[in-house]
Amino acid sequence: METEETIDHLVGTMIEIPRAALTADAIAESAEFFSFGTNDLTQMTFGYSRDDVGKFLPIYLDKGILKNDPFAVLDQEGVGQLIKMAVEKGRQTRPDIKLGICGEHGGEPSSIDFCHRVGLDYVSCSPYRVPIARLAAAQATIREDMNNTNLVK
Amino acid sequence: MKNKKRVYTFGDRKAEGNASMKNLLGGKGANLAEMNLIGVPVPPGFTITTEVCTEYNEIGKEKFIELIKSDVKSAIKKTEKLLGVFFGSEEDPLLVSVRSGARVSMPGMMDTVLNLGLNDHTVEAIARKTGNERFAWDSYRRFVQMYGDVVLGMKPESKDDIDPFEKIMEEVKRNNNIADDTELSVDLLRALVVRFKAAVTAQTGKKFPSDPWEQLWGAITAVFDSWNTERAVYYRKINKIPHEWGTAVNVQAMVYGNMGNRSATGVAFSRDAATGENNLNGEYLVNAQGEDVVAGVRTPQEITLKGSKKWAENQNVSEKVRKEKYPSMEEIMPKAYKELFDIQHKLENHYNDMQDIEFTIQQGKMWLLQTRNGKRTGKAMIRIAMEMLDEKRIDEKEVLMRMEPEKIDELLHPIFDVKAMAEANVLTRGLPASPGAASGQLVFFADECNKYEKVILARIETSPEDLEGMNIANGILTARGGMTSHAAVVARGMGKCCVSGAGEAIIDYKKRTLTIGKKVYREGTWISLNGSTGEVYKGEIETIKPKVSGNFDRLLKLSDRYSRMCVRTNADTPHDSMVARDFGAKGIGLCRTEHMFFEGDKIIAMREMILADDTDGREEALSKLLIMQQKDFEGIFEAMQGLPVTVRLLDPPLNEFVPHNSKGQMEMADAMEVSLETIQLKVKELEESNPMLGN
Repeated sequence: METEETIDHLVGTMIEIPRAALTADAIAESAEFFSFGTNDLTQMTFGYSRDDVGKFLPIYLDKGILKNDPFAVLDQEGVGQLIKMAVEKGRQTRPDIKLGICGEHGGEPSSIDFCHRVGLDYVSCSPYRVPIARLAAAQATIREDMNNTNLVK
Repeated sequence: MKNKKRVYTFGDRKAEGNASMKNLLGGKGANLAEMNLIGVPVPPGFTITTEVCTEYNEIGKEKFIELIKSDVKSAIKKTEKLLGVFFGSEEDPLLVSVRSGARVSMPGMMDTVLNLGLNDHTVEAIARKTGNERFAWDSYRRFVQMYGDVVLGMKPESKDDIDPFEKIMEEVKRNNNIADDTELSVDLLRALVVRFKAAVTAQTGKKFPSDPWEQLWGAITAVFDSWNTERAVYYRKINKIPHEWGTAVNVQAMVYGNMGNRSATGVAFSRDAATGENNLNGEYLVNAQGEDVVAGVRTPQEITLKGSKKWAENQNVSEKVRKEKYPSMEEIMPKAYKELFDIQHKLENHYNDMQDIEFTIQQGKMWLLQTRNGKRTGKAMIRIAMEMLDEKRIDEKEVLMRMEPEKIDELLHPIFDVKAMAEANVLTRGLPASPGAASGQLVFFADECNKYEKVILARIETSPEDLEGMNIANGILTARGGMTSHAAVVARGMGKCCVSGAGEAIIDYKKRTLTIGKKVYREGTWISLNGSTGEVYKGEIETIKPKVSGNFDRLLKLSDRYSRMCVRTNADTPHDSMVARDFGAKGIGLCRTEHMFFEGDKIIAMREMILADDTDGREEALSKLLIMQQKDFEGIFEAMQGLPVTVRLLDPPLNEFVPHNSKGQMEMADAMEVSLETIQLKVKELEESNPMLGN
């Protein structure tokens, strides 16, 4: 059934391969939002196959080669930098671009804190993580405010 | 390095440290100092810093003793002066406890030595001074045993080995027809000390140290060493505590809860650690040492009358028997109870958080051994913080920053369906030690918790060695031990369902059975626990997902007021969308359309599309899909009530939509009315050599 009604919508893209993050300024010329797919972005940045990671990751964690499972806790030093760069580049081209994350990391408190600090507009996570994410998002805001106050002092 | 302060003393309302120095003094040490500063009675002593633990690990025992000797000697001197007793004196000996204390509490994970300073001479002085020979020799035999286990490495490593001291104890008790430790006479205790020491020499080749200073260095280094035991390392791993923090060591004058009927020892919480309810609760034992309460060897009694009555009801104990055999501290020690009540109030007002307190009453005199912010369940965490907000003790930001986000997960754990629970068969009741609902198959050993997919670990009582298994188990049931037993405290910390002290349950480790009355339940039997009521059920009970309400709802609404980002959900179906809305999602951040295509008729239309040779064919197949997909989206949009929904356009991994075995391919050929070859050709065409990377 066709109607005359129009629905407000944006057209955007997921950013889930490193090249997309690196060329985010060009992508933002046509994309009205970015949604960071950090599962794949982590996989491609580390070069770890997500489906085979169970075989070697426990050893890496045990030996202290990795501090956390990067598929559970966002790797802020590596993958996080790609996100940060894409956020900056995206906003350069399109200041009102809508930015969010939709990987597993969207429900993990330390990753949510990072998303807040780099200026994302929203996090998206599986339904049962929503309450945790709501709390973690509030904590991230308060934590940043407290750090800023300390800096002023 | 030489001028660094390594030892901090406290006592008689003065202290060199304070509560803000947790990193340096450990949680216990910082709070012992702070309690002195606010006028709570604490036995005097001193804390060796966590930094020294690191130094010790670098330079080894000999150099470490050299480094710290003069600091410790002057700290001991200060303690001696305050109490008028002297370390190693054969007239007025000072006895001390040596305990661990990391930045955050790691209950039961590290070692403790009590009664240190006892030897063949000092024991006689203690007997003379207290006029209680039995007490003196019982303390001495406990000391040799504890020191032997902890410092001299006599403790058996596996569950199959027998503790050499326990073996001697059993033998002496059997030969003298004694059932209970408290019946051992002074002569038997003297003989036990001699045999214990001989066992030490036989196993280690060295004499048991009688010099109190040698004992002290041994105990301090053993506590530092216990930072690196397997169980402590595992505990840090699951609780994400850095290994480099190290532990502090607290050396304190001993006070005794086992000096007769005017003495007692106990553990109290200023609010309920399971539910968060604002009432003092806890357990105590008359004429006992601290370890007796926590270890679950004797049945601890409730501190408050209210708690005692509730306990009796749970345990099926009549009011008459309760009053005679298990009276509350409020009833039989009203003065000490009043004092404890005031102190917990003072501590809670000071720390503005629920306190977990250890105390000892020595011949009528109240001493605090420890206070710390109590471990609690997720539910209690929220209720306590929200009520403290209502009481205007803390502000909204403090409420939010106090929350441990991962603990929120506990409130989303399944609960028993009310209807299913009403029809279930109650086997017995224990104490509601840690809330939650759990069904699983019975196992009796912590290292066998992997045996079935869902297990209930049943133990007479648990110990720190059981930690790993407790973490894996769905629920924990103990036959002995109260609300402050090891099982209860650890389970609450983990947010794991636990019923403790189910007195009617008889557990036989050898036969691997749980007996209740005349019924015997073997390993592998399905049982269910309700950690909120203490009920134990037969079989598996259906569970449902809980709703967000009350304080939990208030907390989340408060969160939304403070956060800059909003929270959306990843949902591909109307059902998931509804669930997420109920949990407060403000839209969908990712809706993956390809997941819709795997269901039922949709995969057939999808395959038609894949097989189509030209655009017309593809469009025809897609038009069939359109109708089906539209229904899904309508459901999702309805659930989201006008909130934004981000739809990811079709990104189909085509090779996942075609069958890869010949049976499936034959079926597909039949359904599509094409030849098997056509299908196989298509499958081959879609094959990827590296499906992980794009196509």
